[in-house]
Amino acid sequence: MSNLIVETINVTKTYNLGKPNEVTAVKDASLQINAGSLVVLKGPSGSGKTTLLSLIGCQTKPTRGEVIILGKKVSKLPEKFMNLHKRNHIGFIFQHFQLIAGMSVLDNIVLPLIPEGISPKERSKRADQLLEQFDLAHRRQFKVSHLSGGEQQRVAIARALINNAGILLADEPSAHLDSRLTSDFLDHVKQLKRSGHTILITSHDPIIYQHPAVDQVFEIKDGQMIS
Amino acid sequence: MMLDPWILGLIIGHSALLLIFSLGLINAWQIFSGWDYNSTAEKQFLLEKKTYLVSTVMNFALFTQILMLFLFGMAADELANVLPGAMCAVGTLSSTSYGFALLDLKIVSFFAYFIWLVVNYLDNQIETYPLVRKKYLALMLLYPFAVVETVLLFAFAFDLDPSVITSCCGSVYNEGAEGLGASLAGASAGFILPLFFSIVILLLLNRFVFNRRDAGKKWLGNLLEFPLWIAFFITAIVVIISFISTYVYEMLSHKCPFCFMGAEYHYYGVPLYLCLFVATATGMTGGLLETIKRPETLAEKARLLQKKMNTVSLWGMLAFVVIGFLPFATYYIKTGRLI
Repeated sequence: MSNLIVETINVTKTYNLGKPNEVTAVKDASLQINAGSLVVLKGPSGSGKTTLLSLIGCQTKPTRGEVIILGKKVSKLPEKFMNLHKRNHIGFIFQHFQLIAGMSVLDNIVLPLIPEGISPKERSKRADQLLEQFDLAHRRQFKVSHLSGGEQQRVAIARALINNAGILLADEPSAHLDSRLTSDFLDHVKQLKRSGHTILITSHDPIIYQHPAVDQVFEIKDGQMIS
Repeated sequence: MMLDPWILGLIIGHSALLLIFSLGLINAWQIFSGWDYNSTAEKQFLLEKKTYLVSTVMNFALFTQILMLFLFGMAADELANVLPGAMCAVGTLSSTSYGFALLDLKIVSFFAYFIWLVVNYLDNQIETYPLVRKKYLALMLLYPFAVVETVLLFAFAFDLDPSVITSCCGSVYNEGAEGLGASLAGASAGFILPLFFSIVILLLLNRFVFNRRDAGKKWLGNLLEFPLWIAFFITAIVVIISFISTYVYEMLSHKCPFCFMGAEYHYYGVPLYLCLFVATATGMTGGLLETIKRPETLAEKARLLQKKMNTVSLWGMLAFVVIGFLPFATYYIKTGRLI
């Protein structure tokens, strides 16, 4: 039985299609990721890592090709069904975290649960477990703008996990962290991998892609997969 | 008359909607002719993106077109104030040869647009766009309705002349006069009432006998709903003109199907027509949903929607009967005799 959880088949993403500023960020990219693995997508800046991650994360649709997540061809889904699939199965950690500065740590973490119609009590309960797990309980009511970079990233991870997503995607997680915080982040990732999560990280940081916990490294250059 | 605010509003509204519909038509053709769900090529992704936009825009346009029927009725009623001889919307509509043609077309369009909106709603409930080609083919077939409606509206507006004396509802719906209105007004209660109630009973029988959950021919029962609801609508209109109106106005000679929508009759006609249109639209659409069999996920959604529509149509029909025959019952209880 196939253990594949993420698959892309000849995926291409072109921005501004048909316009003078047309740019193909990803070209005919194919990759396969097994369930429970920790995978790194490496490549220089502007190579198309983030675009490919966005395609896998159901943030955008490809121009052609197929993206299959948990056996479902998400690239063919109408927007609302794609969003539903994303909400139920994928957690995304953005490069700049994309937390809402004026809101508290707790409110940021529970945000993905609001469209699910989950009661405030249940939301709080789930968030408290994650706050404990990521050592943020003492910051529960702090505004996220008052937190350090490492703490903000932990809030972003907690938010990505609040919907019990089995797949976690992280875009350049070490871009704003020093080596100690990057090491802390990798500890969390190892823990998540042990608990059965599938993790895909984009990075050009050797600390990340050379880490012993990494199962597979894909390399992308000028929008094309080279390994 | 072209500068009358009601006419201007209608013309601008219809022209804008026709423009939107025309753009929708171009895109509908592209989607209809190029659609290949299994393809992962660039063209198919563009069409998938396009169908979301087009169906949303057409949803808005056709819903507004439906509202335009009521706006047109209100406009006709208001314009009666400036047309000599007109007492209500009937005077306005009969002042040109296009008025009633436009109203009739708008009523037919109302049901056609409603069916399209329901099909579009269903299509948007399923991940695989199962009704895309059908719904865009239907949209292309509906386009002539919108064109003719707009053309007729322009003809109607140009033809309105406040210096020409028009007929009032009393003369249009007069048994002694000529024309369709007179024929409807002159319909014998002894013929039309049994016919109307036969259709009501047939609809109820169809619903509770042939259309039961365990009935073997449920599909046949559902398909029968469509013609039965058309028959219900037509006979209901005749009953309103020839029978109900007599008891609302408590006058044998006044059989106008519009006057009782005004304030002096406590807007009696508004809930009456609302029930009639809602019951017919949901009833006939519920019947048509029977034709949706594949894929099973869609059929399941269609069955759920059909159940809801069947319930709404049944209650709408019962409400229509109660509201429609209330003036008759009240009059009979008060006086102990018929008009």
